[in-house]
Amino acid sequence: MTRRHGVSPGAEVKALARLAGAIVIGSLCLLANTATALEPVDSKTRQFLESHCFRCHGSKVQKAKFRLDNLSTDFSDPQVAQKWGEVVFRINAGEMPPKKEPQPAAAELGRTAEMITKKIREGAAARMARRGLLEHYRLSRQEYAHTVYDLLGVVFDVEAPGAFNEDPLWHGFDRIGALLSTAPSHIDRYFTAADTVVDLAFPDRELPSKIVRRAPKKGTRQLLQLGEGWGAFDIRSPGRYRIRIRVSGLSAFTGRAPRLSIWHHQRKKSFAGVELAGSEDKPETIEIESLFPAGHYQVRNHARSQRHPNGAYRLFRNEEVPAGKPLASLKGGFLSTRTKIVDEKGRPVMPLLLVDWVEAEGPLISEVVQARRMGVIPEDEDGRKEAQGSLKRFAQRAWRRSVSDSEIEPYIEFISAEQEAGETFRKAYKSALSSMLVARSFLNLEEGSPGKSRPKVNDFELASRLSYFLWSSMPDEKLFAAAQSGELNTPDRLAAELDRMIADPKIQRFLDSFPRQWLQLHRVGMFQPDPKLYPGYDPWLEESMVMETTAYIEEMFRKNLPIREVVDSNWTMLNSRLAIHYGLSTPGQAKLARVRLGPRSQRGGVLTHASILSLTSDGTRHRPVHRGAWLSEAILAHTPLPPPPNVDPLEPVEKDQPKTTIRSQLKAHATTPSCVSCHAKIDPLGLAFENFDAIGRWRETERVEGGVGDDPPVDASGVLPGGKAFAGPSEFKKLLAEDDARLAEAFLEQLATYALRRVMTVDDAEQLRSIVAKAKPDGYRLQSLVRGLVLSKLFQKR
Amino acid sequence: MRRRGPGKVFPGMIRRVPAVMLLVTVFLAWEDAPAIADEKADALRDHTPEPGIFPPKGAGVHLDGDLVFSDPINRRGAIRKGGNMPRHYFAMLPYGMVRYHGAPADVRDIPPGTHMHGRFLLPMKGEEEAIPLSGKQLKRHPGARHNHVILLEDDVSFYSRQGRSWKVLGFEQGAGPAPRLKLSVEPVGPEIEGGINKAALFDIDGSTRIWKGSRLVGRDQVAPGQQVQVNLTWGPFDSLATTDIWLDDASLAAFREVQRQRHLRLIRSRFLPGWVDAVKNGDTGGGEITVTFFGGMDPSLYSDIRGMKGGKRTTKICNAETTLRTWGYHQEYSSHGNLLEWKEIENPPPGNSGFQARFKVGQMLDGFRPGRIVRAKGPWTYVLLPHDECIMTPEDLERSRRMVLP
Repeated sequence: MTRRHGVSPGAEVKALARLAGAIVIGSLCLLANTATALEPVDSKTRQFLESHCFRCHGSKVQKAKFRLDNLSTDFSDPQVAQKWGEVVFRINAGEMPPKKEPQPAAAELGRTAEMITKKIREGAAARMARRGLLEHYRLSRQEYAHTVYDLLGVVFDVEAPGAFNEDPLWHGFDRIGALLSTAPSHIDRYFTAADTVVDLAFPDRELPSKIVRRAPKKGTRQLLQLGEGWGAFDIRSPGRYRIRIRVSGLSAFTGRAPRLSIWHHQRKKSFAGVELAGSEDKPETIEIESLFPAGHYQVRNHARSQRHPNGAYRLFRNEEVPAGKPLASLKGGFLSTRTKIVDEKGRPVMPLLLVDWVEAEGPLISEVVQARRMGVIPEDEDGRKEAQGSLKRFAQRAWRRSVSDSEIEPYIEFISAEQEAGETFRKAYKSALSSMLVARSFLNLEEGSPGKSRPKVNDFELASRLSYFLWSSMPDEKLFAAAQSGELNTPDRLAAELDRMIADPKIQRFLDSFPRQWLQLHRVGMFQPDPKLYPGYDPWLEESMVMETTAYIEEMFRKNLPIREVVDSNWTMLNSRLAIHYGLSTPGQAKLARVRLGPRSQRGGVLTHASILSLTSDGTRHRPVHRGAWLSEAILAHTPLPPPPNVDPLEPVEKDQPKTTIRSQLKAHATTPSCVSCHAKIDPLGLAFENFDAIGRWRETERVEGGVGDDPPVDASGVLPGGKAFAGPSEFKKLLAEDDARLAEAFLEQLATYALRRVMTVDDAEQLRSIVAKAKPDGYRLQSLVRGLVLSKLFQKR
Repeated sequence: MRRRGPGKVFPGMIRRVPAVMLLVTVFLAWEDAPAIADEKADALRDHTPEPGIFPPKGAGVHLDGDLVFSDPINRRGAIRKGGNMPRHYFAMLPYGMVRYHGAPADVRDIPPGTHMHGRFLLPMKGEEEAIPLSGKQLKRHPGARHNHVILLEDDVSFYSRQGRSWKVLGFEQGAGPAPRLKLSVEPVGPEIEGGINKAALFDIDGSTRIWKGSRLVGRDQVAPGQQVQVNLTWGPFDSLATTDIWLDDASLAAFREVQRQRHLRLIRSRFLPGWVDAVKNGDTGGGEITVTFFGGMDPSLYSDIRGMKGGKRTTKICNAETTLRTWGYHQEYSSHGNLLEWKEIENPPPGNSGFQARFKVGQMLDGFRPGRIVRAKGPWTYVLLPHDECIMTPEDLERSRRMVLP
């Protein structure tokens, strides 16, 4: 990798001087700490520093007023870490050691940079994991949504514009307590949200459940071509609705099946959907019961929106067609100017929907939801005692712990004050409920006790930890009861509760959320592929990509498959859209289903999922280094060194130059020893997937824009840092899968980060290893690892 | 005054001679040649065109007459051979070509009364009702069956295209109740089917325009020995009267260029017609179409489309009916096409330009099917068409399917 010298050698001294000036105060403070200096770094690193750094930055000479020999190695101190960060920065940028000085070997330089970076990261992790006597872990907005639903049966759309801020991510995880701070803007939104939630749960005027029906003219069916919608209906109150549709879904002649979506017009996204593959003369009745936020909806043949040449007119075939007439007979005349829907043999040339009618029924208030709301507002408006009891019961559920009477008293007083001010009891009581929903005990997971140090979480904290891990929500009554009994922390009871929770439908939240966060699937589509280079890419493909990976992990979890299958298997989860994308034969059914792969499919394991292969791309081309870095981070739980600053990007191939692969360009790009050293570890992990383009399609040659000659063949061979060679992605995956202990350790680290809402530190390493060791006999199966974590000491450790 | 040739005996006979000769030829051939040759000739004469296939060379029959009626919007009209003859209604085949003043043209460019030559075929399959003729009419005039034209051209285009001109012999003053001055000429160049292949007398009077260079000149500029081109029209007693005489190449070139420019203006606003040879449907609404452009257009129009290959601008392709009329606002009812491939065919059949293009389109329209007609827009400024020229409704389409006889 080439580097850009940000400063000239002359300016280097000045830069260091400025740096030293900035940190001189910190250095003075650390002088007193020389006794411990450099001890936590290993002997090789110390030897390197002595050989190459101390002569100019030691006790006798301090060039740029920067002294290194007595620099503290307490990396958990942010000021110290920042100074060590500067050291790595200079090494990575190729500025240190200066060119006139004896140069260390590339491997030596790389090892030193990596060692210091590792220490810096450990320090940062320790800071992030550091806990006081009482800690608050704010709920992510998704957890908030699940919690208010499980508490009061209210659907609150946390992603609606203006609702809640997006949560910060740490390596894909949105639930790291150290990052989930609470800003004034959060508070304002929490207040609004709490009022909305209480109003929706206890409306002043009940919105009756009703059925809205849309149907085309009698004797006709509504034809929906790809990308088009129809059958608009409004959902005024968010909640559970039942959508019924009588429809024929017709696959294109290639097997591409239509996806019927319930499309939210304002949010421009689908809130539910189903894939169909039927026939024109045999319509089916689809029923979708789900949670829907308020808004304007329609049934949509979900795919890319076809853009008309100038947007002025629509050539779409959204029309009412005669019910008994085959689509193939509808052609000629004016229709000849419309979109073609059937080919010369009468087969659809795109996935089509023929809708007979749409019904939306709701809001549906289930008995479960009614039970959740029952008794929250007392019947007797004058009964103070009843009010206190109701509020206390509600607070215990909302705050997920025991609540004392004294904690409820202010709310009772508040209600009285409101009533005295002329407010009705019901309104005053609802205000009190709203206040409880902005209490810190509701918005945060509280762990610890003020003024008392305890190494373990208590049973209520354990219940919340468990339920937010597996359900992303509050504990249910049974889990509360287990906590209340004080038995939850016992292995048997905990195991029993774990089994019950895994069997509960709410486990789906974990199976959807964890893979997305662990594998950083939020990055899929972050850089939209260039439509000129990838005209086949569409939103439904993007959704399908993510669905494949989450469904794959779900299948692994439900079938309790060994960890090695995360990276290598002979099956995957496919729908027709993905099958077409992969060039595989379309599965018999339209819906996403497990499919056995042939030996040449190249698709077993998440590493060759289109989602993973595209999330590391930049929208125009694949990026092997990013692929390697992602694999290292997500699969091996090892975050590589950050790239040095001001790295020149790879230039497009000149018009008069021969076409060349990115791999070849990268080889010429890494020029400094530190670059070479680091890339030697990262690049093979990414280059193993050279057979896949930026959106994950298989290829034998690399399409190169510009340049002369044919597109060059790809080379996906390489050698792992351990010395094992591979010829392509299949061999690479097999090599990776062989080391399943390492995969399990890395997976567990990610799982624990998700479960415990904090970064794992060196202090956790031993316990993690112990959990992994226990999972070895059955081949490190997914449920076994989850079980091992929940039943471990680590899970109850504060 | 001395009269020459068949016209002396029977006015209007000149134009019947070739037909008579053809009949004689056919008769003799019947007697002498193997029966198979006759079958071939009959098959060629009665060839029925089909959508997507250009007819073979020599198909149909040659007819001529004055254009007495035209429906330029639907590219239809009628010619009349002589004062006592019925109108011969015709429709242009979709790939039917019109030439006027030696340049590509459209039916709308031909002034009524212009004497035209044409190659008339039986109706294309599916177009049998375009010229609605009763059984009685067909019985009386069996030749009316040949009413779809592949080439229609005025005299100057017809003769000059085949290397023919007229040598001026002089003027002759006619006699009788309506004595007229005659231009005496004899043909120079090859004998041509359907043409006047003998010396002839054409009426000439004050309405005759005589062109030399780029100017209108007097009759005194016409001198014996000059080789000229003429355009004709019906004259008294079924004689042929001159409307225009071109005394030199420069004068004809000027007319040709004017007509060429008019033609360019027309096609650039209505787009270049062709039909779909093949399609490759995608499964998300896009695909590829291969189009063969119809012949008879100015070469620059084909070059314009060919030049769009690899460029930033895309061709817009819309559907057209067999009348070449397009729907609504044709540019909006079109699909963007990127030119992928351009092929040229040697010795293409009549009606075929010899240019075939393969386009990638983001949106396949229902009319993009083999045999269907499309029109492609080159890098030309978009012009909103007059409403009555577009097909706006299914009723418009229905009306356009059959010629409304006056």
